[in-house]
Amino acid sequence: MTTIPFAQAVTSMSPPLNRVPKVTVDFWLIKLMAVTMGETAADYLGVNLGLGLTTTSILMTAVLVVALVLQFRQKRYVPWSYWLAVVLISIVGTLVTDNLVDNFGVKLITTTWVFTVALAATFALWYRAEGTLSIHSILSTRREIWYWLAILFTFALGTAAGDLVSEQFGLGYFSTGILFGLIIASLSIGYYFLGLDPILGFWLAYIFTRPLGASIGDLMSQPHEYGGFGLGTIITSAVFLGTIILIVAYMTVTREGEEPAIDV
Amino acid sequence: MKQILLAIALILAPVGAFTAFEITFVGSAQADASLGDLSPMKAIIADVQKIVATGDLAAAATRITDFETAWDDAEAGMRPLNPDAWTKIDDASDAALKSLRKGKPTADVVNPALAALMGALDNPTGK
Repeated sequence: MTTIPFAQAVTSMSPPLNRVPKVTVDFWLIKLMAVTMGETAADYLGVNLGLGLTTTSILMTAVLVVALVLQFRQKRYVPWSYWLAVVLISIVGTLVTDNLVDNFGVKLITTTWVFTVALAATFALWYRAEGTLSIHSILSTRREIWYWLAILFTFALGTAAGDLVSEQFGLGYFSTGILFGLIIASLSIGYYFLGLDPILGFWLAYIFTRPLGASIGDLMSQPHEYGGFGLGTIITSAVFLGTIILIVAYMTVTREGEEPAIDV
Repeated sequence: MKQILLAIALILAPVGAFTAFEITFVGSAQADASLGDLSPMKAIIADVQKIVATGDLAAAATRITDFETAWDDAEAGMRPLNPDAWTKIDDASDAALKSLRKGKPTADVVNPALAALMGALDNPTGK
């Protein structure tokens, strides 16, 4: 029975794991699909189920709170709880913007600015409290709160900015998708070749993958008449949810998202 | 600061290229551009009007939800085709939905709202 103490010794000697995943190709793939699903699922719940925007928002916010409690209790990166929280933040982030615009008549340009300021304030306060914005050193519950707060605002900002561009400037979802795809490509060039700061690049890409994902969702779900694939919101959501579950299962088995935390 | 400027430049470069491309090759949306086939939506509203004529406003309120669903589902594809015409119908749609849902609806409030919505659907680009 010597294996147990030995295992414990190894565990206590190894550095603590980061509570959020390493950023890999899979990370972006699943993030993009979570976004797409968030958009179509929000539409489906609000419109097709006839729950209405207000009821849907309250319901999904409650589910999100439960998911976040589960995520915080893990105290390490566990794929299913992390990505469940991301999918739900994506849905709630979309609903928050829809509510502000549809129920309270706030203009999209206003919400875009408000969420820009809120996100900037989050980063400023995060940096002041922790002395770093590193996503590789999420070691404490307090740092994880900053991380998720930033995620929530990037989703809300991405939704508002994406809707603003497509609606106010009369761009269809196809053009919007190309525009945001180009921005992400440009940021990637900046990161790989021009020395763009990895943390800054990460958060900017996180914002812009939101409208890109929404455009992909619209492309899949809109009818042929409007240039879409005509799958509708239910099938689109189901296809992406299925793919997300497969990737999360793969991530759980390979544990590829785990990384030792860098203490800063 | 240098990083922020680099980030802004990286975002503005594709935005600029995209905008130039759109202006040069696509041009602005036509003021009289069609929103596509609105007949399924008109059929629902005609149906709602028939139900209102029977006096069953509760059933009319239920039926108009089908229009709301169809209209909202089509937004992503339809709205960019002609944002002004889309907004015109959307406003008329909001007024019609409200007339059937708010407090105790009466036929003399509901009928003009439905007629206005039908008018907007018949002639979305008209002034």
